[in-house]
Amino acid sequence: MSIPTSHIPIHIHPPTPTRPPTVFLVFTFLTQFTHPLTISPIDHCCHIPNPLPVVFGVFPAAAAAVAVVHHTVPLAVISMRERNSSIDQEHQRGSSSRSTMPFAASRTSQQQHSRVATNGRAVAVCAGHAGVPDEVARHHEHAVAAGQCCAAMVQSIAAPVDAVWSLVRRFDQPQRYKRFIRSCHLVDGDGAEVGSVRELLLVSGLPAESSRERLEIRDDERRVISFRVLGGDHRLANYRSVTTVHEAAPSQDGRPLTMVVESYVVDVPPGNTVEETRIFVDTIVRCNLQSLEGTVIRQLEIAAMPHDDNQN
Amino acid sequence: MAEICCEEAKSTPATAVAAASVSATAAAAAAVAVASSALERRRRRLEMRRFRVASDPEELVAEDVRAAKRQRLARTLSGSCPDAGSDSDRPALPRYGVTSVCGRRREMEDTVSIRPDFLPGTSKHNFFGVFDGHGCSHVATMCQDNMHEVVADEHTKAASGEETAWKGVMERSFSRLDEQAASWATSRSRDEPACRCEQQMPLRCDHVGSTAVVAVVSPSHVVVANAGDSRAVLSRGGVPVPLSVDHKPDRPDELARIEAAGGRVIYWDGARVLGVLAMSRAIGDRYLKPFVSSEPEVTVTERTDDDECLILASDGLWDVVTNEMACEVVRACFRSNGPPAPAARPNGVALPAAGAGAEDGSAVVKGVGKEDSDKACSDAAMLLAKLALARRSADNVSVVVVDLRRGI
Repeated sequence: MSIPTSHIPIHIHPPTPTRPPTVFLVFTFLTQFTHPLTISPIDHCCHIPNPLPVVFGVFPAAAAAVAVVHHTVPLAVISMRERNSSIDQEHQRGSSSRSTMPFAASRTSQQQHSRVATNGRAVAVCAGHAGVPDEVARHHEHAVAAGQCCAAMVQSIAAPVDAVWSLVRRFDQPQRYKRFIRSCHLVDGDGAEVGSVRELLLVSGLPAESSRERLEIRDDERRVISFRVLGGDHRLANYRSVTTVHEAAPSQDGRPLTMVVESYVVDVPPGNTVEETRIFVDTIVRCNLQSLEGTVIRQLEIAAMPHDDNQN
Repeated sequence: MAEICCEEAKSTPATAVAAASVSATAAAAAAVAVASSALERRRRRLEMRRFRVASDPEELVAEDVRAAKRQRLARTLSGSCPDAGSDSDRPALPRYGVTSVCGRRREMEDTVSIRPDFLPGTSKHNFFGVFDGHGCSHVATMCQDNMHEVVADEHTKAASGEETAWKGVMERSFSRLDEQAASWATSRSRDEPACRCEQQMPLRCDHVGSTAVVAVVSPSHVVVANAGDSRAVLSRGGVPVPLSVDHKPDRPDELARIEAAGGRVIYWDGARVLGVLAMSRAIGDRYLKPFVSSEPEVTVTERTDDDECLILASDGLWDVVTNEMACEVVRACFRSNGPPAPAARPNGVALPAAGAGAEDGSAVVKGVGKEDSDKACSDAAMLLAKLALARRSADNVSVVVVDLRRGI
């Protein structure tokens, strides 16, 4: 369960200061990461460089969390090993790539397997749900190979978890909240079963025209959906995305609060750096998550209108 | 024919479609009477894919409405009407030609706005605008519908000296359109045709934007305001004079501005803001604020006797045609529609005798009537669009050619 330190430099741009993984610092990082609850508006994008140290500072925290688990519940360690094994199996099925972006020639060399815990785990832990954190954190653990980068983003939405999940789960209609998608049609499967494949056409103005994607996970019980990109006219090869939706503790006024975590792993395209790739993908993912929030809230407002005014 | 002209002159937006129908009927009737060689040329033009020409603002509006249903249908409309009366009886209409063509893109997201005499209380100020949308078409459509009114409103408020005030007028106008784009989803009137975003029940359309290159042509000046990578070029004595500079993210001053604001320009199929958008200024695109600004660069250029034409076009043209070549095409069209021998017009009114002798190429051309000028401008716009398509432009192409020659 040790984190292979030789891989960490690949993802740290710029380098962040090393911090000792003490329990105190763990909570400090978690608190910093989850405040504010929503991703800051795009108007504050002057802070883009800042998230880097926060995001990558989670690695020591993850190590600490693992250490804690090891000391107190040895059986949990065995369980986590099994989960990682299943992730490896998923990874060995083959590589793929994501929404809104290009198909590159598949790599002929054997991919190295390494395990890096993402900040998704930290967010789940911070949410304070004893049962959910492991489920959520597990789904956001990606096997990251050399030449790839990995990140996760969080959006909190003041809406019931089922309202959010009903939008996120639609593999066949991502354009209902992902604004950069112009149209989607299924080319294999019914959109509900794992293995379904969709073909997306994207809106103009983007450095991409189309994307072909396969549904990898759709778990309505745990509210997890994952897809990988098989090809298309874009530059993001071997893109894999995981999105989880879970219920957060209600705010003081008792209104429901939902946490959406989206993490991804992708090849860094030739000619670009890890940082550039992350800036590009994060911009798209952030726009999608903010649009998801707006769409859900809009739907709830329409549903709350008197029936006569509801044109749906 | 006089009644048709009066009908067009008096038409309001509500009757734009009716006016277009009348003109279409007139055009059809005129087509029957045209010589067979002209018929052949027209037939070939009609066969050209995804091509639309309009030289009348009312028809342009109607054209856009029809384009929504038959987006890729090719049509040529002749908007010029015989001049039934003396020009001195009313303000002279601008002489211009327009072409908008979908080209190789899947959808048409360019719009063009032409508003003659658009400033209330001030005569002879003509508005021309080209808007190249991305993400969807509704921001470009909104600019087409509203930009001239906002500019007129801001111009009315700015009571001070005309030339020095134009920069502020344009900056405030672009800012207002940018705000309208941001609140489009909530403020959209029910009469507007639904675009794709509307059908998907958006709350915000932060990912949609448009370039905007706008020109206000008065008897003494040409004012140009630009945000994005469309362009305005003046042809003066055969030499192209850029009146705007494209806002590309790797333009040194734009790059510095973006990075000072905390953004990044990433080379991702070309230089792009955050790796996403290939221009550094635009109306809309809220998700990329403040890196993608809506503030226009404004130029005020005094007109001279050497001025020949003004060309406004989207990057679908400029990506594949140089300023020099575009000006040459227009000059060639002007030359081929040069002073005609005195002849009777269809309505029986003889042309004034041509005062000038042989054309010497760059001198002011006298004796060219408005009808010939409109034809020359329309031919030039169409030819430029054809040239862009022939050079495999990968985008929508929209071209406006304005005749600036004096002594006509």
